[in-house]
Amino acid sequence: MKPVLLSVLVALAYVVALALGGRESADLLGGAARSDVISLALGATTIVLHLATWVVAPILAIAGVLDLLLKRAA
Amino acid sequence: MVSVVLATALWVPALAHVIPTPSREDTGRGLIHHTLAVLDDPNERDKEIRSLRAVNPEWDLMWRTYTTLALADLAIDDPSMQRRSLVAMDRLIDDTLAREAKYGQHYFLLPYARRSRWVDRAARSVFVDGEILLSMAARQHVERDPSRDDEMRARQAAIVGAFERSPLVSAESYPDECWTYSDVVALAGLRAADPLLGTDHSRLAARWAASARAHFVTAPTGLLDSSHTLRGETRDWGEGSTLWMTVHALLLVDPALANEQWNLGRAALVERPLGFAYAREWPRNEPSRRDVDSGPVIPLIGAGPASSGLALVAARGVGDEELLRELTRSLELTALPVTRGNERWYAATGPMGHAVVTYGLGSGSLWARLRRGQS
Repeated sequence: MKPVLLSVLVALAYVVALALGGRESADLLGGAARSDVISLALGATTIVLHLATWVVAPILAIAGVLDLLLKRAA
Repeated sequence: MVSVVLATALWVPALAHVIPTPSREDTGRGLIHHTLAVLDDPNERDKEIRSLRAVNPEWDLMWRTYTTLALADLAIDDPSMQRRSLVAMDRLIDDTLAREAKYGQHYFLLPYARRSRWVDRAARSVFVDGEILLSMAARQHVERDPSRDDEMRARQAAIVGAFERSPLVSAESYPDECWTYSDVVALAGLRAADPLLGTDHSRLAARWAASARAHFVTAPTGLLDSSHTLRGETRDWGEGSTLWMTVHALLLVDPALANEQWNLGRAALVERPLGFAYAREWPRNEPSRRDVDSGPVIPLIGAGPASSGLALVAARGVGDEELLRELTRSLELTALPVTRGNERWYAATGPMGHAVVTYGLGSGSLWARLRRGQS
């Protein structure tokens, strides 16, 4: 079930990034003052986590379930 | 490991069907409502303009143009929003004219414009004149305001003079630097102003198109270059961030050339993996040459966020609804959509991207009206 845990962690990290203001920080990437390195990093991380939540987390979750089914079948 | 491969094979093809993608109408409405909310709040508006200018003063002017075009679409589509849209457009145009009058055209140009001498004696930028004329014409197509006619005629004269004095019918945006994008936007401004002022610049448009076919097309792609000198020496090859708006504006200038460039651009720059789409900044197999217009380019796949956003404008203009849907889906997946009340925006696009996407996902009613007026 490790992949399932990982997928939950990815989704949780995304929620945490949003709670920290990742969306507002992502606005900065489009052209605002580039002096705030922490905000820029948070914004970039939030975008990556948004993508990971849609692409990587479901793959991990499905893989976890498949693992379980394969083990039971064996 | 086997289960991860299987899961990938199951999930990735399904992703395009799973990612929530609201209709273009709903998205466009939400985006323009966010635009209006920003414009209505002087602090927010100034913050947006400051952030645009921090990157590129050209973006300040282009943001105003795309926003005005999007507001014109809204005003034409929804009579209940017409007054509010007109007020916002007038405020933008008046502010643009005031800043230009106070600081000169350099206010909207990168600092290198001061480093060399303009070749044309008028020493004006067709980029600035063209964007302003197109914005003013767009506003006038929503509701006529004859008090603006003199200003529009002066812009027409400045643009026509620059084209007529140029050896290849291409005007300077910067000293001895002619941008195809700016030429075509200025020509679209002239064509949009024609029915309002009783003028006809169709012959100038045809001369420009003939010169472009002869001098500004680059091998091996056949795409129009991005910029050249007054004598036609290529400075920047064709790239997505300038090509797509060129295609869109060409629909008013020379629809046949617009369609040719659209087909060539789509073949060279657009990628459509698994129900999603994105546009490259540079054609496949060409090295990346990052510049201030291209913005960042995503390594390995060569996707250009600026090119992809502007591809929406071109796709909408030529009516490629399928590509428009796929580009929108990619935006939903990658650009962090935010919905708050009746407003919608993409957190990762920034103000310039927002203006482009808002116009690209709008109805296109203004352009349709202008094209009908020419037929």
